[in-house]
Amino acid sequence: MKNIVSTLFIVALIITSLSACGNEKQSQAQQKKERNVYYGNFMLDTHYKSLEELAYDADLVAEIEVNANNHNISYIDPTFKTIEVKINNVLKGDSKIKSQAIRILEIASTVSENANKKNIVFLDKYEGPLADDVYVIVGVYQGMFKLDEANQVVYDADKYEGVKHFQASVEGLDKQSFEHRVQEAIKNASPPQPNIPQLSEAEKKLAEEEGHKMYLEDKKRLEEMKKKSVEEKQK
Amino acid sequence: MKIFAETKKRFKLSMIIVILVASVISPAISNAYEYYGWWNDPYKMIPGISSGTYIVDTIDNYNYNGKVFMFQTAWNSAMDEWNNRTEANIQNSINVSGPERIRMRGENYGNVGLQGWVTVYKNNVVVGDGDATPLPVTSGWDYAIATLNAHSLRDYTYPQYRAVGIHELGHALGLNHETDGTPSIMNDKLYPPNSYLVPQQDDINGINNLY
Ligand SMILES: [Zn+2]
Repeated sequence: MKNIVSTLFIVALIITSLSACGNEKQSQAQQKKERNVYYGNFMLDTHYKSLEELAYDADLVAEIEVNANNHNISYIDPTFKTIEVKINNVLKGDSKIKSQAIRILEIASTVSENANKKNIVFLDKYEGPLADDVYVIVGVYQGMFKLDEANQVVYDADKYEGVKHFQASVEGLDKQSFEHRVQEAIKNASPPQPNIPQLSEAEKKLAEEEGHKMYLEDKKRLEEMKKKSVEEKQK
Repeated sequence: MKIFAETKKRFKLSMIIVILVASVISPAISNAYEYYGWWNDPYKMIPGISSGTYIVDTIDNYNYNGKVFMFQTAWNSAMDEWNNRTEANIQNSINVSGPERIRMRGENYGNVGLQGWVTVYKNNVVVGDGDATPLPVTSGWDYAIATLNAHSLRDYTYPQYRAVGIHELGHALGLNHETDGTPSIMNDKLYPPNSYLVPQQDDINGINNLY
């Protein structure tokens, strides 16, 4: 009898675990519906593998607080906006901006979803056509660490299909220990792995020329396609 | 003994249920490709991908700090890769007429940390509540804008940024990132020379099984 019960129990367990697998994906979809954050459609420049790498690419590392009065900018489509944040503490960069406000250019509501919350962020001065005098989060969202009500570090980009490489190792740290780790990382900052092997000027030129051959083939094929469609239209 | 027979019957029934459940789930886990939304009812290009047109909203010889990009030809060829290898048949609007389904852009967006991205729309509205983009994909779509960022691609050769274009179009057609290591253009954690330059078999299966 005991055997039978345990067999049934195992079977029941298998069934529930199997259906739980399906449910999990469903609840993920449900979650996506309720959230504005989604990192799945990006091709990231850099996958950061440590705090040291984030620190290397950051002009400013600070504790920020998100103000309620964010404002949007428009540029071609609504992909980008800026948000105003207050600097509570500066860990790297100009300490004079402490308790001042700065603007962050954000994508996918990385920051604005955390209104009225505290975050420790790695920021890089933005240089580009979208806005002046704004910062971007290093690695789009990889350099953003939220502080929860208990002042413990939360990194949950993976919930929104974002990457999580080393961040699990700092999750749950209290603010003080995390800031200590960040300060160490700033001291020992090291460049992130380049995306692609760094080539000499001569090698670069050669690779460009090699790649250009494919362009010429593509161009030729596309022109033939265009010619063919013109001929078909004339028929 | 009777109880035993009863239980045996129940056990048999349970096993049948197990097999049934497993067979329903297995198609979703036996392939590596990933879709958006619900595993059994994924979000995708609502009007299908066997018709419609695309517009390339950028140029060849786009100059960014001395680096010359052939964005227009790269995008055209990127779409051809999907058209030639899968059931997709979305043609350049300069060659055929039909509703616009995809718009491709390529220019400098600065150090935003992204090489490219895709925003999907339904009835001219970003799918979702319009507050933030790219939004979580919350429904099927009928239009997509795919973007390449010159700043982040400045060290890429033509075949390499063309491949980023193919990757972005993979999103526009309905593929999510590939995560289990199967050869795929949708793997977003590989960089040249380890990344793929054209759609792989799993990507092709992914598109053909979606529509
Ligand atoms: Zn992607």
